[in-house]
Amino acid sequence: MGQGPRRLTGPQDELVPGCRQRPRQLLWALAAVCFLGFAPASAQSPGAVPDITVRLVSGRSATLSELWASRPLLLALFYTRCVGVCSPYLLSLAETVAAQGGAGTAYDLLALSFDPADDAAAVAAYAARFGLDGRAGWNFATANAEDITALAAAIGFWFKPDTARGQFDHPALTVAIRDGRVVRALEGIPVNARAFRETLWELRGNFVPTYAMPGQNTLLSCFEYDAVTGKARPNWGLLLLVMPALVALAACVVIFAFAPRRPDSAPR
Amino acid sequence: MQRLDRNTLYWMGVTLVVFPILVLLGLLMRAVQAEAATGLQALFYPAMTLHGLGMAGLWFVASLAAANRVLMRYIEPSAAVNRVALLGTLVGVVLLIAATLIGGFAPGWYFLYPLPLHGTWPTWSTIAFLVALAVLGVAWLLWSLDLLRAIAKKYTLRHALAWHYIGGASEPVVPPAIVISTVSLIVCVACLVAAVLVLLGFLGDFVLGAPADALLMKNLTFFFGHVLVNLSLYLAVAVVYDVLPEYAGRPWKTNKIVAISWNCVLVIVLFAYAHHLYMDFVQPVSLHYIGQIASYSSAIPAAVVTIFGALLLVYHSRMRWNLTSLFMYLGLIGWAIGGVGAVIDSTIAVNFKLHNTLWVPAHFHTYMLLGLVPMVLGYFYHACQEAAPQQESAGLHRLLFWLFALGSAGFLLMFYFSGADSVPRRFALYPELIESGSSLALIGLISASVALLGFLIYLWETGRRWVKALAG
Amino acid sequence: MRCSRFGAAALAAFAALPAQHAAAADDTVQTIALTVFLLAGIAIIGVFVWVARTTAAPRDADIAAAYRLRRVLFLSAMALVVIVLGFTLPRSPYASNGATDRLVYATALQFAFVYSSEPVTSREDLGKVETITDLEVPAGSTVEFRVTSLDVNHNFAIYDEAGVLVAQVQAMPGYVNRLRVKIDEPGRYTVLCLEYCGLAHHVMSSAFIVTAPADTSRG
Repeated sequence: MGQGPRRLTGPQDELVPGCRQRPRQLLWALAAVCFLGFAPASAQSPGAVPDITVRLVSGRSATLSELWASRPLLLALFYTRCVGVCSPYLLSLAETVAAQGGAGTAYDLLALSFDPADDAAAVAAYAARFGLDGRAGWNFATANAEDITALAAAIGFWFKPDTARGQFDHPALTVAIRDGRVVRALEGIPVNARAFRETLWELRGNFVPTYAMPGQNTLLSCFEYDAVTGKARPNWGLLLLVMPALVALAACVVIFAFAPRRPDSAPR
Repeated sequence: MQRLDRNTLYWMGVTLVVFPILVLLGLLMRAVQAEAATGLQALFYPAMTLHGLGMAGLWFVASLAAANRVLMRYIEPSAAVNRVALLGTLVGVVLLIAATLIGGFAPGWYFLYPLPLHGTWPTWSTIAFLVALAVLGVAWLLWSLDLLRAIAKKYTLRHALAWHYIGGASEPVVPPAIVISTVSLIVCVACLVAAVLVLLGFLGDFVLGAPADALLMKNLTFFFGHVLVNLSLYLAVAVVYDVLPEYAGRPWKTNKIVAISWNCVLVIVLFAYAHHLYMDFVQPVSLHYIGQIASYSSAIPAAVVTIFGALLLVYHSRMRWNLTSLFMYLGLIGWAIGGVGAVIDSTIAVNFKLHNTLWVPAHFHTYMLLGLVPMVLGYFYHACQEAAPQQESAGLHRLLFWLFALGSAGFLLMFYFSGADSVPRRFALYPELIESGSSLALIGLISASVALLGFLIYLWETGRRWVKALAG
Repeated sequence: MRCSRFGAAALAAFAALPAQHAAAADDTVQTIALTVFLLAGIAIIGVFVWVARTTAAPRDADIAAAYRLRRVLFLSAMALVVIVLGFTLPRSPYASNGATDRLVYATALQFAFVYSSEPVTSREDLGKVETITDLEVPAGSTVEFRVTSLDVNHNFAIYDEAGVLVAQVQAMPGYVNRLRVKIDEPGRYTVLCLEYCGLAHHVMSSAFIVTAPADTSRG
C-alpha cells in the first residue's frame, strides 16, 4: 500500500553526522515485517496510529488515545543512551515549541523512548538533564518492545541496532497526531520553524491555505496568512492589484489637466 | 461626409485578412474535437492559443480603429501615433504567429502563469511571445493615451465623462461616442498597466528565476483580459451610438441617464473581473461576492439604458435596413443574449458547475461573434460604402445576414448545450465519459462554416468597396 | 429552410441531452441554467424582431411613455438582482469550518492527480509521502479535498458516471483550496482536469470509488 516511509519535511534537513542513512531495502524489509506481522493494525485507513499503552515517568500508564483525546499530540522518539541525534533534536524541538507556544494548551508532546532497555528512571533523568521534566505539555514515557515496533511501523520511524557501539541508527522524527491519525511529519535537525507552524495549523484543525514555492518572493502575494491566528493579513501584492486602476485614473487626470485645450477646433 | 483616412483603411484591411484566418483555426479546433480531423490533433493547442490571442487582440484593435474614426468627427487624434500602433500590432501578430504555429507555443489565451514557462515548446517561442506582449502593450498604450489627449484637447474631464448632464445641464453637447470612448480608454490604460505587471511577473521568473505569486498573477491576468474584451465591446457600442441614428433617421443623444449609466460602467467593470476566480476558493470570499454583485450590476446599465435606448431608437423609425444597420442591430441582440449567458455563469453557485465547461466559450463567443464583430463589420461596410458608393443589393445583404446570423447562432447553441452537458473547454479530444462532446462539436463545425460563408459574401461586398476606397 | 434545418438539429441535440444522463445524475443547476438562458434568449429575440417590424410603419415614438416603461424595467431589474443575489450568494460552495468525515489531500501536477493523507507541497514530498492509489469514500460522508498543484494551474473536477459535473475547484501552485463534497450516490467518480495545463491536458484524469453504505470500509 505504501511507497516507503511517510515523511514530510521542510526545506533542507541536516542530519547530525554519526547517524547513517539506511538503504531502502532495509526499510522495505522492516515495513514488510511490521505490516505482515501486525496486519490488523496497519490495515486500518492510512495514517492511523495504533493505540498502544505507554508508561509515563510519573508511573501511570496511559493509552495513546487517552493522550490524544483532549489535545492533538506531537510524538517524538528518542532513547537515553543516544550519543547522536537525540539530544540536539530534543533541544531543537523544545526551543521551537517554546518559541511557537501552545504546549499544554493547544497540543501536548510525548517524547517516547523506543529502546526497550530504558526504564522510567532513566527517561526521567534524561528529561531532567535537558530541563524538560515538568515543563507544561511535555510527557516522557516508555513502552513495550512489540508496541514500539507497531507504532514505529505505523508512523514511518525506523531504528536499527548497532550492537558494536551499543547504539541505534534512526532518524530525527516528530509526527503530529490528531484524533488517532498522523497529520504531518517533521523530520530533521534543526526543527524547521515554518513547517512547525504549519503543523500547528493542521493540528488545530485549520488547513494551511498557502505554502512557499522554492525561491518565491512572498513579499508580493496579496495576503499573508498569520501563523498564530490563522487569519489573512493584507500584503504588498494587494497594492499591485489596485495599481492599474490607480495609474489609469492618475494618467487621466494628468492628461486632462495638462492638455492644451482649444474647444473650438473644427471637426473633420 | 467624413473622409476615409488611410489608417482606418489599413486597419480594416488587417481585420478582413486576419479574421478569416483565425476563424479557420477555430474551425480546425471544432473539427479535431468532432473527431473529424484527427491528423490535425497536434496543432490543436497552438491553434487554440493563436485563435484566442488573435481574436481578442484583433477585435480590440478593430473596435478601437472604428471608434477612432468615429471620434475623428469631433477630435483630432494623431495619425502618426495611429500608424505606430498599426505597425506595432503587425509586429506583434507576426511574432505570435511564429511562436504558435512554428514554435508550437501553446499555453492558451489567457496564458495563465506559470504555464507559458512550463511547456514543452522551445524557449525561443516563449521569448517571442513575451516580446509580442511587450510590443503590443506599448503600441496600444500609446494609441489609447493619444486618443485621451485628443479628447482632452477639446473637452474637460467633467464634460468628457458627461458629469454636467448628471448635474442637469445639457450644454456643451457631448456626443455619446465621446463619453463611452473616454470611459473605455480610461479602463484601457488600467488594463494595459495590468498587462505590464503580468509581463514583469513573467520576466521575474523567466530571467531572474524568482517565481511570482500564482494567485496575484491570476488576478492581474484576468483583470487585464476581462477589461480588454469588455472595453472592446464598449468601443463598438460607441460606434453604434454614433452611426445607427443615421440609419434610423433619429438622433441618439447623451442625457442624464446615459451619463449615469456609463459612469457606473466605468467603476463596475473594474471589479467584475473577480468572477473569473470563483473557483479559487483560497481567494478571500469578499472578493468573490464583489465579483458576483459587480457582474450582476453591470447588466443593468447595458440592458436598461443602452439596449432599451437602441430599441427606442429603432421603434417605429424610418429605419433604412441595409448591411450596416442589420449587422449593428444583430450586434445588439448578440450583446443582450451573451449578457444573459454571462450573468448566469457569474452566479457563484452556478459557476461551480459551469466553470471551464464549454459554457464559458459559449458566452464570450456570443459577445464577440454575434455582438462586437457584426457591430464593427457593419461600421466597416458603412465607411467603405460612404467612401466608394456602389449599388446595394438588398437580397444579397439579407442572404449574407441570415447565413451569418443563423450559422453563428447554431455554432453558439452547441456551445451552450455542451456547457450544460458538463463538456469541458479546451479539450482537444473528449474522453468516453463526455458522450455528447464530439457530436455537438460536429454540428457546431457545420454551423460555423455556414457563418463563414456569410462572412465571405460580406468580404466580397465590403472588400470591393474597400479596394476602390484605397485606390481613390 | 435553413432555419428549420438548424432548428431541427438544435431541438434534436437538446432532446438528446436528457437521454445521456443516468437517472441518478444531478444536473439540476445545469438544466435550470440552460432553461433560463434559452427562455431569455427567445424573449430577447422576440422583442428585437417585434421592434424591427415596427419600422414598416414609421411614426413618432412617445418618449415619455418609453421613459416610464424604462423606469419600470429599471426597478424590476434592480429588484430581480437583489432577490437573485440574496438567493444565490449563500449557496456558494466555499467551505467554512465544520465537521468532515474524511480528509484527502489531492495534488495535481502535469499530468496526474495524486491522493494522500498528508499534505504534499513539493515534488520531493511525492517520493516520501504515502499516496493513496485506490481512493474509496463511503457514500453520504463529507469528504474534504485539499487541492493543490506542484507546477501550473489545474482544476480538480469531479464527474459522476453519467458525465455530469458534481463539484470542482482550482488547483494552484503555492495554495491549497478546500473542496467539501458529500456524495450520496455510490459509484465510480472520475476526476478531470478543467484548467488548461499543457499538451496532455485532456488525458489528465483520475478516479475514486464511492462505496455503498453497506460495504465495510476498506480504507
